[in-house]
Amino acid sequence: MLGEFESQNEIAACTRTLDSLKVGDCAEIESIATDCDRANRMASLGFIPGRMVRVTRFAPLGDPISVQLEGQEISLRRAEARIIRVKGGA
Amino acid sequence: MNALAESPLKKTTARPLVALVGNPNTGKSTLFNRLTGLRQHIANYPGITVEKKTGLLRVGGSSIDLLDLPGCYSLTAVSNDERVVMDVLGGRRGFQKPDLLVFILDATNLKRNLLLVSQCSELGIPALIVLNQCDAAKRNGIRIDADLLSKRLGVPVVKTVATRGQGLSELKDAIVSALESPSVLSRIPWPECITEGCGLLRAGLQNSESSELSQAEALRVLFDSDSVFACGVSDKLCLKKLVDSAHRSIRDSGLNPGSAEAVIHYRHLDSLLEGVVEANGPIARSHDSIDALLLNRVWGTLIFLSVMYVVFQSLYSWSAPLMDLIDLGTSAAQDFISPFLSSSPALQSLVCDGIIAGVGGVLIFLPQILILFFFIALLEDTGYMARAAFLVDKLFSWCGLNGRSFVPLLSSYACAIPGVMATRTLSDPKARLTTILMAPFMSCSARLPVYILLIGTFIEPLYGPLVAGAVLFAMHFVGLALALPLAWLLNTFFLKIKTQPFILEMPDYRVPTLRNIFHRMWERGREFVLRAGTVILAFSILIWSLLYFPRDPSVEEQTTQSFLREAAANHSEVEIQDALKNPTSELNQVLTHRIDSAYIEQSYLGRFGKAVQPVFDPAGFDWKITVGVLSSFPAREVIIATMGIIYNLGADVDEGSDDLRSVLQNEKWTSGPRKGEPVFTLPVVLGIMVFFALCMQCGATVAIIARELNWRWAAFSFFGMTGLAWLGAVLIYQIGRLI
Repeated sequence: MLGEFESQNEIAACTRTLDSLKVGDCAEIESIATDCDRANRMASLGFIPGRMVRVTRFAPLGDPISVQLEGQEISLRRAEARIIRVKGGA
Repeated sequence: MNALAESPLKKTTARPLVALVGNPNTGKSTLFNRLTGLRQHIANYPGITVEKKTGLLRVGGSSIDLLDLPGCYSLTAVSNDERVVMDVLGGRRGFQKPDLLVFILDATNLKRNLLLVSQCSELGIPALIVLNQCDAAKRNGIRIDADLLSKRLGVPVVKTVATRGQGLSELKDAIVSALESPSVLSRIPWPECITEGCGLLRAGLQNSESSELSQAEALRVLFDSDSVFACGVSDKLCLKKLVDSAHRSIRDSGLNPGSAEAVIHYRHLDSLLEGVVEANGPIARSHDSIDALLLNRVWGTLIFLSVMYVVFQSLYSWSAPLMDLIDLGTSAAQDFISPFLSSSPALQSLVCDGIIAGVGGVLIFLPQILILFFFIALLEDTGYMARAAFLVDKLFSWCGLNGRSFVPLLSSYACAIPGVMATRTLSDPKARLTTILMAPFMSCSARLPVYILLIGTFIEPLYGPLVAGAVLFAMHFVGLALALPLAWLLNTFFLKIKTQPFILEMPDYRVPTLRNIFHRMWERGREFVLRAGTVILAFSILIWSLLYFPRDPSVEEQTTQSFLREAAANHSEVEIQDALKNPTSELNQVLTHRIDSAYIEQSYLGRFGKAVQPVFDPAGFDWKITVGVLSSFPAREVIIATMGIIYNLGADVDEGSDDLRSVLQNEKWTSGPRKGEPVFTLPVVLGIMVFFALCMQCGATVAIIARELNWRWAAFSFFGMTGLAWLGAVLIYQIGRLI
């Protein structure tokens, strides 16, 4: 699974949220920030700790963003990306 | 009708009930259509507007009831769709529990699709797995060991390609044998903290049927604060206390209660799928390069605009010949029937002006509905719709709508009926509700004749074609400019529905099948005619009767006598007698038009219009405009014909009629403080146009909103828009008078 991403060796210890990544950045999902209903939904779609996520593009107006996760392309708004904490990435 | 609709679910029939369950975009509906053909019944689940599709599956000599459940990613009940799935699977609210669950999985994305299966394993209902889109999986280099998967899950696994009908007979056989010798899914091992939490909930809570919660129910209450089961629990305080303490113990064992369920299921699935799925190297993603173009900042936007232009053009222009044909058919039918009923004028008018015109008024919407759903099916099936929503989401997200609102709102510029129906593509109930309420604000093509008449009569002669064009353009944005802030207000302060995250899965690009597209068109067209059509017909008959009755014959006599007195001043007795014998003579025509006008004035609607004229007085409307406005509530384009009648020109005028234009220009107040002043001053003209832009003068739209939401929202929309329209017209008139 990790083999898909070249930059995995660049994973550092710093923690950020998914919405702060730039196009092309890869990172590992560390946790989902809240335990509200949104967390359940995001996790059901595959946003669970340990998985790698790559930002593929931003929409023309900057929001939402599109990410690659486990071979699937998923679009989410920055407001939702903000609840996903990631680590590493370049 | 209703009893029939409920029968497959509510009563235990002799036929077994099989439910199709799966994520969105798995080809579930295609498979359902393939299995049942056109032996389907579409209705709504009681109380909510989630479609309930049932059908009959015939295998050999036996028949099976098939139920197509709404697509969902998990059992977390956020939307009504998911709530329905939970209700049916749990056998709640009087639903019959299915005898067999057929899970339709997208073979290209097996793990995510299996999450739902894994959650359902707790229900203990016999199951069968279908791996669909096996061709696409193969192309992507994914190999799936179906036998091993079947062994690990404990239930049979069948491979299909639904779009091409491959594996259908195997699936039918598998359904029959699974019903004969059922097998249930193997349950997943829960960590101790979860089982303890469930035990706590089961000991302390009772469900709505006052019995102990099952393990499956306890899990839903634990992980899903919104779940149907949580709602069924009456003691909310106790529920919160128990759930909180269960969450604490989950947190103590190092898990996030919000995501724990999915995390545990996925961990289990990771080991379950080991050796089952083999992907050859990195997954070849055929759509990456297409996405790079279609979602590009510049090219993607241009392509989006071109696609939407084609959709709009075809709705707006290409539907016109078909609509003209329906109009022709309607008047041909009227002309054909009319002579047979001439002995009874009231019946003649009811049949021709009420019923036939009403049926024509329903059918007239069909071309646009069919064309729009052709495009929607095409855009959805190719996978472009999700991309389009991604591109424009930001335009709508600030006011509570989302990217999927674009197509319904755009279509509403042609006609709000297909636009409102198109909101079915929005899965978020809040965004869907708001989009439906905003759709009638978009300037539909029926408003155009009113704008053209008034702008052509009053603005173009005064200010020239350039200003006239600009005003016409501006009128198309009045509704939109007001609708989006209104949506924001509604969402921020009034709607108490939870906002859902807007997360889109970008499906693989696929070649659509005509079969699927035509099925969608047929389904929607049929639904419109049968369900909304009947209400629209009833409306038009009601308005016809208000305009026709009481029809006191003395009105005709008095009008004729006063007309003859007038005519005697200019014509000789013989001339008048000759003219009245000849139905095509000018004098006779004028008389007929006067009689029609007098009847409208004396009709219930005419009297009502005169009575409520004071309400419209602050907007500068006289009683004639008021009656015109009132009579156009069933359909706004009617105002031109009504004005033709009121101004003694007959109903056969159109927005380009010079007679109508000059009459309007010369119309003066006949009484009151403004006696002698022209009625149609610039503020009045602008006020009328704004009134038409904002008012819900369309019985068909009210009917379709009632159908898609309920009558309460339809009434809210109707009265809200009418109030706004009045306010707009009054403001413009009052401000205009001051300037």
